[in-house]
Amino acid sequence: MRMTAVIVMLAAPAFAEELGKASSDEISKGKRLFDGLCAGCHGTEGAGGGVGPPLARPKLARARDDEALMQVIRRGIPGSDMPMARQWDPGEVFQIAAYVKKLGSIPEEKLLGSAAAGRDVYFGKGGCKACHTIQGVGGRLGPELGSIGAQRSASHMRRSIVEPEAEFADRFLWVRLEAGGRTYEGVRLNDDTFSIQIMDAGERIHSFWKRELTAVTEMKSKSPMPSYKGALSAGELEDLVAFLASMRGEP
Amino acid sequence: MMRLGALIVACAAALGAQGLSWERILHSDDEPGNWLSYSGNLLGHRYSKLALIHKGNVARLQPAWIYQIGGAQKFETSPIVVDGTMYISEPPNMVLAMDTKTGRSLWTFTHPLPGDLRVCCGQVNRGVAVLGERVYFGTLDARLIALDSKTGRKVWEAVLADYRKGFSVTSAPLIVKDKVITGMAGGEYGVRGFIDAYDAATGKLAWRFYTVPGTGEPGVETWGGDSWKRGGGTTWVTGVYDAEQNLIIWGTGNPGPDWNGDVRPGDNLYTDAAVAVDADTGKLKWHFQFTPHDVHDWDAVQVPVLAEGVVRGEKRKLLLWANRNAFYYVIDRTTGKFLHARPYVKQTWATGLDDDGRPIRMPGTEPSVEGVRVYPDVGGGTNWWSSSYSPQTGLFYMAAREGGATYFKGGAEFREGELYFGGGSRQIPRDERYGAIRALEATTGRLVWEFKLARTPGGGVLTTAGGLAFAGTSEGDFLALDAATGKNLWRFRTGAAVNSNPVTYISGGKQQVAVASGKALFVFEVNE
Ligand code: HEC
Ligand code: HEC
Repeated sequence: MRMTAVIVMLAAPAFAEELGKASSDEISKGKRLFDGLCAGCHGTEGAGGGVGPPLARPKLARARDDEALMQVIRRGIPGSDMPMARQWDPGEVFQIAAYVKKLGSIPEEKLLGSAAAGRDVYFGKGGCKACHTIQGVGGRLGPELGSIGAQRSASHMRRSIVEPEAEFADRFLWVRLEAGGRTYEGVRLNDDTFSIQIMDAGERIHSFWKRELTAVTEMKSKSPMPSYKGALSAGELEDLVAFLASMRGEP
Repeated sequence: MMRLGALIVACAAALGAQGLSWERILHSDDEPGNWLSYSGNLLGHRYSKLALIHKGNVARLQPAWIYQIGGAQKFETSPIVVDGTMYISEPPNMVLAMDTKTGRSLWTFTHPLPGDLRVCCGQVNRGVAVLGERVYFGTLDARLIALDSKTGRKVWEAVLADYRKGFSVTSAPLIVKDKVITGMAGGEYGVRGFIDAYDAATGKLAWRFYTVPGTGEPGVETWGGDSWKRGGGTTWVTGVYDAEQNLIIWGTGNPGPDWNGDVRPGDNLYTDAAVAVDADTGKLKWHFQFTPHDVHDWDAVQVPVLAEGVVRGEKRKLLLWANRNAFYYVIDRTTGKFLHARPYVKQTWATGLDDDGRPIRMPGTEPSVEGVRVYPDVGGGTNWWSSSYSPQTGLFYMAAREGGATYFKGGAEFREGELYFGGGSRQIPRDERYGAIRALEATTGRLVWEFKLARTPGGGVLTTAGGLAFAGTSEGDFLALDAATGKNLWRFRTGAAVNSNPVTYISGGKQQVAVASGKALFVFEVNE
């Protein structure tokens, strides 16, 4: 244990904290290596789908910063399928890491509004708290927004507010069920061969065996979130986006 | 019938001071109270003549006992049961003998593993083999080990190859006469595949069949340059034995690198193929290649199923195969000649097959730098888990996967002991992915019934003379279906994905069904 720690510390400084400064040439070399060596498990562009988790995310649980990312690539994750880089030189590890980092990064955008003013819109006029949680406070129908700033670009957030049905939160699906002559609508929590569970707009959970249902409709383009187009001024919208962008808590 | 079977078991056990004889394994269909080889019989049927559990009482099936394992790896074992004792492997490389009546372990053997294993896809093991008083199993560091069946003490150990170069063993061995036959894994590391036969008594290598021909051997011309050296063609799922022809029939894995075929122009024999080798010498008798020059990682790693049936107006000895490439094949197993095929899941890569069974590829389905959409996905229409053939219904049962992928081509620089993928793939957004347990007419592949699953499955099928088909789901259910209609007759919520093949046998006069799911082995029986 100790031994490895020392080696890593010696090896690290040469490239530490420079992943963001990698040249486009280094990143494209990294892509080439990644496509040949990593994509088989992590999916092309780190999209997931193989035995490894998706990597195209701004925050990785086992690689929270640049150094941790290079360390995971150099040493693998013992006891898991994640192999160590046995025969690559530090330059190659750097190139791959720079590419992985880029996969998950969200484009930097200039924020025009004020986060403090946006906070007031969020909790006041916007009524966002009814459906969203930030640091444990708020409704539960929509996704937690406490780290949305680290996960989504400003333009994605802007679009989500003005046009909620243009893009959806990960894994979100609204469904309508019919059982015993009644209709139920809600967010899908689980759906398997034999049963389905949903949470309705009043945050009540309903569970059904599929044989009890007379109809299941997946409303793939429906969001219960209202569009705020026209309801907020352009300034209020920008403030709100600045506020959400400042939400960078741990996921 | 049953009484007689039980009687034979009792006699054999009394006589058998030397444990499980080859004769008993060869005639395992005569003693359904035991489960003597990986697939239940040597023909790959995973079918049992037991009918104590049947359509009328399966609704009362309940857990008799559960054995919990530790660790983080998938539990893929397929138990062997000999006269009341069950032998299983537990990941990564443990072997246990269990008392089937109480679920208590009689002994445990742990093979210590080095820290720098090369395994691409899980530190798994699919089970052991038993002959005489020995239990045989393969290890992740590419060894074959013989244990004493009463004590679990090690008797001998043979090294197949250097694990540092990417070799490993995850499959259960197959006993043929006095030999232990084993496959190997490592197809993502640029290894050269083989099937080995070891003397069961001494552990001496009797023969080796390389699934990729070398310099001077016929077939090497199907590999550009020296690419055969890294050709893959691994053998990581247990094969079968055709006693009438004295042939071992085995499936082979993908050519390496998986998704970039540029470095290995040609058909790449004998990857993605069924190979039939002489059981005494390991000499190739015939082969049939399902996917020449594969670029989608569609290993032919299914358990071959041997049956008889009328095809093209003639009664024939058949090889039945639901291949990862989405086609169901019917092959003459005396010659390896193609008879018939049809897709059993959605596929978009071939317009059909020619008279010799060679796929006619749709243009533009090779992985590219930009990505190309193809059905099925990398996992294929099915994968390593067993199909089942019921002589009672004449149907072929399998767990099918529906869904496509976008395939990409990447670099293909080889470094010994490192992964050698040459590309990758990703799921198609909003693709309609689902699974099904399907029953096909064995001689034609025509769909007879299906039981749909919300997710793609990862476990095999067992059928019984009780008219039942047992199968697990990746959603954490274990099911009994009516083998004739597919109707769901019983279900147990195990709570985690089933990544294994069920078996059945008799313990204390009762029929038990055993299946590994999640981190536990579940054993069921009917409570009267
Ligand atoms: C054989 C499959 C496999 C290959 C090849 C592979 N990985 Fe992984 N990787 C995994 C698995 C499995 C995990 C998750 C391990 C765990 O958390 O227990 C993982 C985890 C990771 C993580 C941490 C992810 C997180 O959420 O914290 C990173 C980063 C990563 N891999 C990068 C790479 C890179 C870069 C390559 C190529 C150089 C690569 N991997 C090759 C299987 C693989
Ligand atoms: C009636 C409940 C409701 C209200 C009120 C509501 N939302 Fe939502 N919101 C949702 C739901 C449900 C989703 C997930 C479905 C979707 O993506 O449209 C969502 C999605 C989002 C997303 C996208 C998250 C992602 O990861 O893509 C953002 C950003 C968002 N809401 C912000 C807001 C803001 C800001 C407000 C207040 C101005 C607000 N919401 C008000 C229910 C609501």
